[in-house]
Amino acid sequence: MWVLDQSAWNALLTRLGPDADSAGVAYDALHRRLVRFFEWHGCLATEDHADTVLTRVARKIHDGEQVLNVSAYALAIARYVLREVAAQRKTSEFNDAIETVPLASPASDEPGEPAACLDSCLEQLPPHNRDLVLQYYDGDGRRKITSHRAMADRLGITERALRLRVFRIRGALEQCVHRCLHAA
Amino acid sequence: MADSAPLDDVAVRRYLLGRASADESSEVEDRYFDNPDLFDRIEEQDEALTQDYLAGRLTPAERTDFEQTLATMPRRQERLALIRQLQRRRAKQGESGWRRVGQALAMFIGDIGVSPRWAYALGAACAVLIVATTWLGSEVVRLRSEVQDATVAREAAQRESSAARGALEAERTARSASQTAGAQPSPAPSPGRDNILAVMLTPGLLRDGPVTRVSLAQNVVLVRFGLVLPETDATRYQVALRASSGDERWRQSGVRAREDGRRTQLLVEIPSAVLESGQLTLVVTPLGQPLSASEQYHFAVVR
Repeated sequence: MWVLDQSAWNALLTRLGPDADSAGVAYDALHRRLVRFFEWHGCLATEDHADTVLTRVARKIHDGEQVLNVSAYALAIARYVLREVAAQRKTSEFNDAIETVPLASPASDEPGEPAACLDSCLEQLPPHNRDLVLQYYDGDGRRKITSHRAMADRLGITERALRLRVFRIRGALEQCVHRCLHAA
Repeated sequence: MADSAPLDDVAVRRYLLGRASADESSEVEDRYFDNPDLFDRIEEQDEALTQDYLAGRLTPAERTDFEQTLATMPRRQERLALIRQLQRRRAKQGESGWRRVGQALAMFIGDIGVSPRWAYALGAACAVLIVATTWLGSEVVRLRSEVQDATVAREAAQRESSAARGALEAERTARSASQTAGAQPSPAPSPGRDNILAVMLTPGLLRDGPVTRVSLAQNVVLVRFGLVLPETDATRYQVALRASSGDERWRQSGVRAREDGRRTQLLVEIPSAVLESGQLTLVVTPLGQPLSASEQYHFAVVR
């Protein structure tokens, strides 16, 4: 199996931006789009599939393929990976009998693993991010709207910027909780 | 690759609710991979959809579509569970924070010269009072919110129930009971947990012929239908659910046929909320072909 080494990694970053910072930002943005692409197509291991795509893109670039538009190329690879994932899914999950199977994840109100995973993942967040995301989800209805406005004012940002900031923090939480729940 | 014309919000919403055609989906994906600002906008719409669902602001049809995506998008399901836990977590954290305030108050009273025993007792009494008052306040807010959510949900359920009663009444006046010799009752699902019911159907020649009976217990949230296909070259299909009145209740396009060696079949998952009691039909049409090329799969839902 081909492994992404430093030279291939550098070749990919060079295609994404003129310097390390901008290339890193572009890489994160592309990775996020790939994760959502796989999520919206019903995949569970979205981060793994996104990593697979970017590894393959890096390999192609490293092997000398002329990739003019990295994002478009990544999308094409992603569609291919999606077909592979779909083909790997069990096609014999049906038999001739009518059967009942439990849903994969337990009801969200049950205590236990999901809550423990969230506890652990919240602890890993920087304190100000943890407080921000918890405060954001406090309250409901009009009280929540007022609270968000106050939070944004306190931070000196727009409500939209606050939403995006919380959204990114929650995305990190989601990944952490997902890894925790599905840890082998 | 980028199209200069702005992407239609309606098309994006269809994409996020899993209702876009294959071509529409491709266009949305081409555009958001090419345009980071557009991607941010789509992510915001996705977030807004989730928040609208949690707040009961979706229309009944959108709610059904969204719940259907919970079955087909497991990461969305995990996100919903996480948001609910965060909402509960904040309420609990507020409570424990006030306990710490009470303890600090007790320490302060001790510092100003009251004897330690009485200081602690006074501090504890103050802490209890503060905690109780705060807890009562937060409970009132929480219960008000739950009442509001329940009211919205009840109104939505009443609307759906009204529509279903109307359809069922029309069915009852036109037909007799659908029990036949060929009907197969489904086994009782496991109690206590949310379940998926799996059902295999073969195409029916006659509307009044033998039908499969599907018993839906309350904790069945999703029904996974396996639709055996006849010999065909088509690879993608449109699947529509129709009531006995002919009204369409649900639709999914671009469903891919699967082969498992013995047969070709389609797998579709339908939320049980969409499956009204009575006789229903799944109409399967190869993409790009006329309705006359459809196969029909009849079954009867019993609750």
